[in-house]
Amino acid sequence: MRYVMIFLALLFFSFFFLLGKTTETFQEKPVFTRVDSLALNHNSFVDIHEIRVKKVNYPNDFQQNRFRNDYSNLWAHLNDLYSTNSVEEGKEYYTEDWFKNICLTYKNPIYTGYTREDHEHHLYIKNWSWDGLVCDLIDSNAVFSYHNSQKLTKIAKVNLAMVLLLQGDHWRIDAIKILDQKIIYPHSKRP
Amino acid sequence: MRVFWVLIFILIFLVSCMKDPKAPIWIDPVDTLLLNHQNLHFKTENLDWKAFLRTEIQPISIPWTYSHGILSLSLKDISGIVEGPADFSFIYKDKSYDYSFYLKNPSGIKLIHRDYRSPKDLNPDSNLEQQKIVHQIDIYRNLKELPNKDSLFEETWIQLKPKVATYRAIANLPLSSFYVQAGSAVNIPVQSKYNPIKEGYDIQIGPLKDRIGNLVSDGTLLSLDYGDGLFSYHLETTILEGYAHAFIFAKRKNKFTLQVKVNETASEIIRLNP
Repeated sequence: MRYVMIFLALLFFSFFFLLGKTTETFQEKPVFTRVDSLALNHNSFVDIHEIRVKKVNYPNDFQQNRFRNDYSNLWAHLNDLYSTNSVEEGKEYYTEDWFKNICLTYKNPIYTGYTREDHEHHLYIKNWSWDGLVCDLIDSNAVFSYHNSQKLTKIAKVNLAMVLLLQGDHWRIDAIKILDQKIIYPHSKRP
Repeated sequence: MRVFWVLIFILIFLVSCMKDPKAPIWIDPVDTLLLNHQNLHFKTENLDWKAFLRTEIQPISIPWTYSHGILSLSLKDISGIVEGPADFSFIYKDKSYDYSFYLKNPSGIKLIHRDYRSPKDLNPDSNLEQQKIVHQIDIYRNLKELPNKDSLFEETWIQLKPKVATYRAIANLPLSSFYVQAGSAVNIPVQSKYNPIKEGYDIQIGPLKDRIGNLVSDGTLLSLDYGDGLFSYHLETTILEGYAHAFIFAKRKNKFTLQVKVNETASEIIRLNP
C-alpha cells in the first residue's frame, strides 16, 4: 500500500513538473502592455509647414498632432538604431520591408559610443493620401548633433525625404533619401 | 626592497611612455564610395581595432585583416545600405577615428514602383475621381527620383472608367486592388404574366442598370408592394445578374396593383389582370 501511495505521489508531482517543462514562456509582451521608454523620454521639436499649392489633401489638427508625436518617436528609435544597431527596439515604427532591410546587416546590438540627437524638424508634407494612410514629406533643415564617446563631434543641418505609412497604431518609416547634409559645427574647411 | 622601487620606477616610466594609438591612414581615400565589394586599406599599427561602417541609419561591424602594416576592410558581406553620408570609424579603447565619405549602392539595384490609390471603393453614383500617389524606391529602401521627372513624389487625381470591375494599380500586387462598384438602379422595368396552371402572376423585374449602364449588384434587395384595394401585401426578393423573379398567388383571379422599389427608386404602378 505504501508503495502505491509513493507511486501516486510521484505521478502527481511529475505531472506538474512535466507541465512546467512543456509550457513555453514567451518573453515578449504584447505591444499595448509595453512601455516605450525611448520614445517617452524623447520629445523633438516637429513643425509642420502648410503648403497648399495644388489639390492636396491635408491632415487635420488631430492627424497632425498624432503625426508629430509619431515622428518624434520614430526619431527616438532611429537615433537608437544609429547608436546601437538594436533593430528590434523600434520595430513598432518600421514597416515590414524597412525592418527586413535593416536586418540584412544585423548580427547583434553593438556598442559604438557614437550617438545622435535630433533637435528640430520642419516638415513639408508633399502628399497626404485621401484615406490618411500614406504620407510623403520633406524634412527641411533638420538639426542633428553627433557625439562620440567623449565629445560633441559635429552639428549638421540635414534635408531628407521620407515615405511613411500608417500601419497598425503608428506611422512607420518605409523609405528615406538623405538629400544633403550641411555641417555647421565645427566650422571647418570641409564643405 | 630596492628591487621593488626599481620595479615601481620602471612601471611609472612605461605608463608615461604609453601614447595614444596613431590614427590609421587611409591609403586609397575616396569622396564617394561605391559599395561594390572592394577592399579598403588603412596604414596602421596592429591593434585590437574595432571597425565600423556607420551610415545615417545604423552602424555595421566590419571584419578586417592585417598584414605588413596594412589593415584591409572587407566589404564583401555588406548590402542593404541606405545611401548618404557615412563614416568608417576605428575604435581602440576610448579613442576613435572617423573617415567621412558619401556612400552609394552599386547601380542596377532593383527598383520598386509604388502606386497608392485612394479611395479604394468607388461608386458611379457619387464619384469616380481617385487620388494616385506615386514614388519609386529601391529594394534597400532608398527613395529614388521618378523616371523622366525631377521629383521624388507625384500626386495626381484621375478619373476612372465607370465599368464595374476589380482593378490593380500594380499588376502583380494584389494589395493594390481597387474596386468600381455598380451604382443604384435608375429605372425598374417590370413584366407580369398570369399563369393559369400555378394560378398566379409570374413577375419578372429587370434588367436593372445604374446610370452608366452597369448591372446593379447581385443581392440588392427589391420590395414588391401590391394590393387589391382591400388588403395590401409586401414581398421581398433579391437581384441576380440584373434580374429578379417573383410569384404572386391569385387563386380567385384577383386583380392587383403592384409597385416595385429598390432603395429610393420606384417603378410605375402596374395593374395585374388575368
